Amino acid sequence: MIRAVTMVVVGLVLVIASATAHADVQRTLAGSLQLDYLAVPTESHPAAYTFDATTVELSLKMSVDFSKNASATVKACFACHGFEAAAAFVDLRAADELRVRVGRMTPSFGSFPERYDPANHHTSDKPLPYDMGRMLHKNEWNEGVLPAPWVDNGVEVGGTHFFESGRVDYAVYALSGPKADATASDFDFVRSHTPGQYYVDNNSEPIVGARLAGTLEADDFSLTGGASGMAGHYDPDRKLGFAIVGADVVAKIEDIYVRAEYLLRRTEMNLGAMPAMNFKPGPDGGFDDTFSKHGFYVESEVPVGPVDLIARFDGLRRIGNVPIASPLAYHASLTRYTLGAAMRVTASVRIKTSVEYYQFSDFANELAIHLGVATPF
Amino acid sequence: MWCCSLCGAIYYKDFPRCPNDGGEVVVSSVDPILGKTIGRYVIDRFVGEGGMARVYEAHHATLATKRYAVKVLLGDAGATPTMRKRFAKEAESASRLVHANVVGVTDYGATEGGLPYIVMDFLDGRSIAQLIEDGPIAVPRAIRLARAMCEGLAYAHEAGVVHRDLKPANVIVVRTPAGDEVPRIADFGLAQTVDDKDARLTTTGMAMGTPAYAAPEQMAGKRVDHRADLYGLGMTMFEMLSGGVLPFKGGPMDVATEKAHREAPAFRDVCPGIAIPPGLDALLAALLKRRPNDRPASTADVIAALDAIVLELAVDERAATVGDPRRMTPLPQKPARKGSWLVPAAIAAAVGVGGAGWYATRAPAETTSTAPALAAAAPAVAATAVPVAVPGAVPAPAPAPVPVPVPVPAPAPAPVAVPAPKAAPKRHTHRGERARQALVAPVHVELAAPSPSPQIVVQPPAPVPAPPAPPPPTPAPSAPIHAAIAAVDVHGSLPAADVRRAIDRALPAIEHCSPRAAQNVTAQLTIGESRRAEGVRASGGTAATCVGTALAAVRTESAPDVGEVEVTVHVKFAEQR
Repeated sequence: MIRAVTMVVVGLVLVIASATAHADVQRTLAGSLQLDYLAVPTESHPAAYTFDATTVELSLKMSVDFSKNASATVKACFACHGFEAAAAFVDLRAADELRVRVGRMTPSFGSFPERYDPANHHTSDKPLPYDMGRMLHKNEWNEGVLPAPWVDNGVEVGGTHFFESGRVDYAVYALSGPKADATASDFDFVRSHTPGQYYVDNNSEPIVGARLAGTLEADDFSLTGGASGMAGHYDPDRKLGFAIVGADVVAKIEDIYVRAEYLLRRTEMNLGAMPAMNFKPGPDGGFDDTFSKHGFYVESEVPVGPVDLIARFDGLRRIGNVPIASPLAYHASLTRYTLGAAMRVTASVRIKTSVEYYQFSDFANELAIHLGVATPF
Repeated sequence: MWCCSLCGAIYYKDFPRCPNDGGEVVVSSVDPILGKTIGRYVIDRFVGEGGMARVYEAHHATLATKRYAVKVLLGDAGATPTMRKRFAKEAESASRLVHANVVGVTDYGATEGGLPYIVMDFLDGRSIAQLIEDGPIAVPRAIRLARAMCEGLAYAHEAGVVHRDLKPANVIVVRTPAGDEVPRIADFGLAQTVDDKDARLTTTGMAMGTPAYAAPEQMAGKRVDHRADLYGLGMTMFEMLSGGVLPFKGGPMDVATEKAHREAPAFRDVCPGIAIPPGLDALLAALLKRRPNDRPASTADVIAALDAIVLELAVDERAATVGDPRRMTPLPQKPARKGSWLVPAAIAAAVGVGGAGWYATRAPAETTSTAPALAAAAPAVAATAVPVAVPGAVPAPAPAPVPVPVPVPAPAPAPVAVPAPKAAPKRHTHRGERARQALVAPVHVELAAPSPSPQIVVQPPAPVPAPPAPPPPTPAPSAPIHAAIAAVDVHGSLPAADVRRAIDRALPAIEHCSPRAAQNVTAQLTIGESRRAEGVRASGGTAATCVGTALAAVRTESAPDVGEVEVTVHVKFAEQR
């Protein structure tokens, strides 16, 4: 299956490239590569709950402009789920204020997904609300709130209104949505990244979402604030609903970035006919068919010569009944402290290193160390 | 010159039809404004030209002895209703400024053809730029003039008006009947009347200020406040004290680069042969700080500092007389005005009298500094003095008005020798030559920087054999220059269409960059997470700076999701008629 998808993606790139080879169109090609080594010195066998040791990620993206108002983009990625179609969409623009995007895309949600590519964020790992396989105890926590990249199929209508000292960006979209089976107690993120699963919707009902962000710009300062939301059902029977809301702030003061985001997901679970057989009871001995998952991060990037210094504080909190086999408690929390540095050794090659200190409510605290190299090309 | 056949608006850009009334733009050998009556003012003669307006001497239609300077907006500068509205708004703001150290706007309106104009006092005096031609100004006199300028600035700033183009040529020094000097600042607020996106003005030195005197943030096209005026004040004081030497050397592009990247060198380093009080040296350094936040917070602070320096000077003199060095050290926290000859002198001098002269030497935009220099080089022009009516002042006996010839280009300047940074101050560079070179010399410009905002890196301009004249009052010899985006090359993870649309949004500003000769400009920029153009570099011609500034405002709809995007923009300026 992976080979088939790979061939489809590569074939699509070649078809677009050849179709436009003689036309008066412009093509842009970009890619990135990251090789990361994750060590967990506080754990003897970390492979059981994270992607430790060496991992590699790569991406290849091509955009073709058919006119100033129409373009197509295809992006292929290789990461923990093998080759994947990270983007395959067509943009149609009537004006700055109206753009229609159709295909497979990362919908507009939050701030970090705009820079999720390893070439665009300066730590090897992602902030916990958007984290995937590199966070410790990823399976027990079922990753973050909305692991990035969140790639889905659908339609997004959005635009940008520029004004003298800033801009307003907005988007609404309808997508296939997250997936899981009928007895699920949370999203099955693997399905969303497995080609045979993400090709089709699992419940014949789109989820909907929207984002509104405003940016004020002045001299060497800019401030962006945004709010995002997404809701729908994720099970085949359309009985298990979810809603995610998020707020984000990014301030750029000269070369210094300060970012903060908060995400909250409320997710309905199928407790089954006998909840006590499948779930741990709550503090009051009862069972609630909804859990909430909070995530946040605050980070700052300060360039010092060729080095970007990064300090981040992020965390997750889950409140709700958990499956009976889960090591998590009804109230579970995770906080993490990260110090990192990304050194630009050439124009585009960065060496990334970071130290992360995890504080778990349900596990022993851990230390993780990343060393990697990333390059856009 | 190109004139609208209906309204008489004068154009230097390619306007086949007047955008205001649709009249055909035709070549005319005669200034259509001359001899006309605008409002209550009869236009007598052309005096000079700036980047956005032409200045005429006029007399009142019924009170013939009343003389005024009438500034009529160029058609190029008033091409859009927005620009006209802003001109009128700023004229209205400036007209509210009534202060002894400010040249008053006495009237404003629009010609029958709709061209906005303002009417100002016609002063009998010399600009500080002309005073500097005589050599360094002595410290006490410079402080006295600077303090009086501060009074005018403080008054305007309190009224919410920022000058944005403060420089020696914009300060006219008149004398009271008692012989006291009174500096009066002209063109208050008018430099910001033009559309901010009118990047052409970066080359003409109006909206962006005159390169040699403009604050770094102003050169970068950022928003400015009253602290930009403090920077201009610092530059003016520096030049007054040095006799024409400025802290940054070279052509305008070199200056812009230096300002963007480093602090101004100390006066004592630039002019080691001229002794000024340490406090004054420190004040200059503070006024010329690269970052606005590092400058004095207000003009009042500058006045206080000047008063302290005056007091220090007085203490020094007394200490030297008494021979007790201990008396030199302690300075009161609040400088006492008692004993200071400066304040009473400034107050006494604040009862202004007027004269003309200045407008006779005003000149085109970049030319605003060029023409005075040219005029100064030609005694017949510089000596012109016409009496004017200044409220509350007794006109000084005035010489008979001397017909002032239209500024003509000086002989082709030799390549300007840039003085070594620590060279002893001397009048080594003719101001006219400097300004003229700024106008005409092809330069290689790099608007680039590691910082997020565009900064300017410049290679020295190559000498050119013969400079073109300032905007001529006679028919333009060549067709107007039209700008076009020849190509946009995009390397990175954004669709080129997204970038092209962003460049197109900057096109109106680029079109205003039209130089006086055909040329190609190539600019490079980077777009990253901020979705704004960063590290803009432009090269290829005299319009490079202007194009770079216009492109620095580029914003894309999306951020690149894989690395950064490198963009190369090819702009072609070509004749089109």
